[in-house]
Amino acid sequence: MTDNSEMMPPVQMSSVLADTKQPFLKMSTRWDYIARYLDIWKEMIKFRGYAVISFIAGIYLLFSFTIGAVIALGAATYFWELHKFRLHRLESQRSVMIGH
Amino acid sequence: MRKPIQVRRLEEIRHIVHSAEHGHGSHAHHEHGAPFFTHKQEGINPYLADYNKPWSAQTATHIKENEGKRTLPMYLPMSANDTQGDGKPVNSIHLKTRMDIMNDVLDEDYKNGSVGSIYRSYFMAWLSFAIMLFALTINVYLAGVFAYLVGYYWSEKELSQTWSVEWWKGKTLISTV
Repeated sequence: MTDNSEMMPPVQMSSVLADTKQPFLKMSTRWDYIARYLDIWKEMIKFRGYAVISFIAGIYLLFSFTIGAVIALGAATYFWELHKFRLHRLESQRSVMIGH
Repeated sequence: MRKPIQVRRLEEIRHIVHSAEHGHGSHAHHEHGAPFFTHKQEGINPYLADYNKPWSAQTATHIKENEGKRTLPMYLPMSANDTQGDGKPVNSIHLKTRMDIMNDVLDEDYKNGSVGSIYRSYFMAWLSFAIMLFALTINVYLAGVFAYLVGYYWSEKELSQTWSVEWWKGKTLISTV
């Protein structure tokens, strides 16, 4: 591996706030924050339901209609991934500050 | 097919730019000049992207005696020398994660009166209504039982909506952009 450290600029210590070019905090109400994630929650439940139904259909069709079973199990995986992404957004550990 | 370019009047463009600069309160100006309660506050921390004051914290700045006054977005206990009754500290601000907020909000328990219980109560009310209509063909007193349940679940929905929607429209929350 070549050493590019002489060509790169030196890394300097800097505070988080000094480098931000845009504001990074938003002040709103609790309902405003919840409303932002309500549609994501509904989609999460919807895709979770689709995944379970597709999985059951895939198991049911496994020996009678194998091609359909393959498609159904593939769809189940797809919907599960969509559900997982939305769950990850809702379970985020990002901090919020709530006041009175 | 792409939408054709919209030709807007100059007044519309000016209104859009004014709203974007001055927040949502700008469109609510009276015709005679006195402003409504505005959401934007001057001298604000530049690191705050957007500042929407809850309606309960608005200052009537168009009244002369309130000129120069500002409302604090947080409750600051100036003399918190004691704890709450059950020993908990008196905090004016709580630091939580999005997961904690969402778990509290999307709970289906009626006791919490959360958003999840709104959906559940709404569904149960209409289900009880449907069963009540069916029960009318059997016995009117049986239908009366389900009519009571309709009212019970509808009132649960109203209470949950009060405490988890309308009440929280007046509570401050700061989050990352």
